[in-house]
Amino acid sequence: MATSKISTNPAAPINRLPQFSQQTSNILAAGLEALEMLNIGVAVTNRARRVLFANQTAEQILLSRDGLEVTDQGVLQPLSKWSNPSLPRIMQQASLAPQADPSETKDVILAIRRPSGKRPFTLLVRSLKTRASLSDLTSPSVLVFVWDPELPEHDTEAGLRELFGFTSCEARLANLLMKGKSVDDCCTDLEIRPSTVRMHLANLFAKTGVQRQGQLVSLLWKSVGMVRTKYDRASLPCKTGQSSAVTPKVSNRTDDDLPVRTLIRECGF
Amino acid sequence: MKSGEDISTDKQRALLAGWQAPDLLGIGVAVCDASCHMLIANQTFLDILGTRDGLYLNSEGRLLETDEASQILVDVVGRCSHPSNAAGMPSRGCISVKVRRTSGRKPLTLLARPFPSTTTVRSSSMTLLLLLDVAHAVNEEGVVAPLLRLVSTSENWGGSHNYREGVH
Repeated sequence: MATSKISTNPAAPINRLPQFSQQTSNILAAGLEALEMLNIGVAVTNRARRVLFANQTAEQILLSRDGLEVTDQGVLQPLSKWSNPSLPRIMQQASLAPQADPSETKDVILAIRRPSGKRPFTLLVRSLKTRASLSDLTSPSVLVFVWDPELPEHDTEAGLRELFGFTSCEARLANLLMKGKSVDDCCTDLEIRPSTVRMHLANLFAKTGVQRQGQLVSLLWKSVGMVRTKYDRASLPCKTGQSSAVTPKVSNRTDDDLPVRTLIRECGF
Repeated sequence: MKSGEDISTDKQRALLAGWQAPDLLGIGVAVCDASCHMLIANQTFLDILGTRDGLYLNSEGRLLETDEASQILVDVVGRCSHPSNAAGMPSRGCISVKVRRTSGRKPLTLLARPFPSTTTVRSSSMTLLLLLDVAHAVNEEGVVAPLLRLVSTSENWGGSHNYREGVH
């Protein structure tokens, strides 16, 4: 059987599309289902900053309206200038970048302050590889990754135990480190002494084969942290809906209005 | 409201745009049928297969393990393809397993779940596979690293009197 491949090469821009069959569209939707399994929020916007789709994590973040929001017109923006006034400008620049130099995609990282006082969101804005004309405002043009350092954990301990052979205590410590907790915080949360934490840390290094905490956190996130090992299918709506050119305000939306669900449903799922 | 044709084009574009994100995160994504024939894969998945270290694609387009004695992949795909008959298939969620690499490097992390997931009765039996190469993650400077950099974990640890860089 021939292997299909989704190329991310700029030479195969996403705007020159063949007309997909229903079956092809169904299989292509696997990419979106994969995004639904991520603990990192992912959204795609068009040149006008309108959200074309967002994965479950991104929707949770937007629904909280804690630093980021989607307007009545479906436009992604900071909740106030206090959160971060530069996001609209950065997204606009990112949407124009492929035209300026298709071979160069520059990431822009920014923090979004949150009225709740929680740690800021980290946003990474990247241009999509596309050759859409500048006048095409509806074309997908910007990928936005949203990282919430205080996102509720999704049962990563079992995965860590299985993958690296961590003990329960080591897995709990690894989980806390992935959430950005300090060693002091870990001592408090686990109710153990600093010397015990250091011993567990050394075990984590030995079992993962890394030598620095930064490497450890990167490895842990890449292994299980980025992916929800438990997928909440119940949160997905079942009713058939119609996509709208104007995305309702997120805070007023029901799940049925969420664009990614609509997209998947309309592909036959 | 747009015309139906415009919306259809937007949907197609969005479908393809969605495939760029896992690549940027270094996550391999693929769909295979019940016989492990690969139907579609992103670039990261293909790159990992290209190393022939843990998994590879044979000339018939079938996913196989480089460790011939291992049946992990076949078992996982079988459980996802026939979840109602398989013991141990989580009702909500995915299966995560290690795939041993013949080079001795850190194993690949393979997550699998039935695809599509949003129907109660599936006409087809496909499996969505996510493949993570943790060894690659350590030195990678993709999207993940800059995202994590602002989490300020190292800052927290560095400020702690109980913390010292390196193995203790």
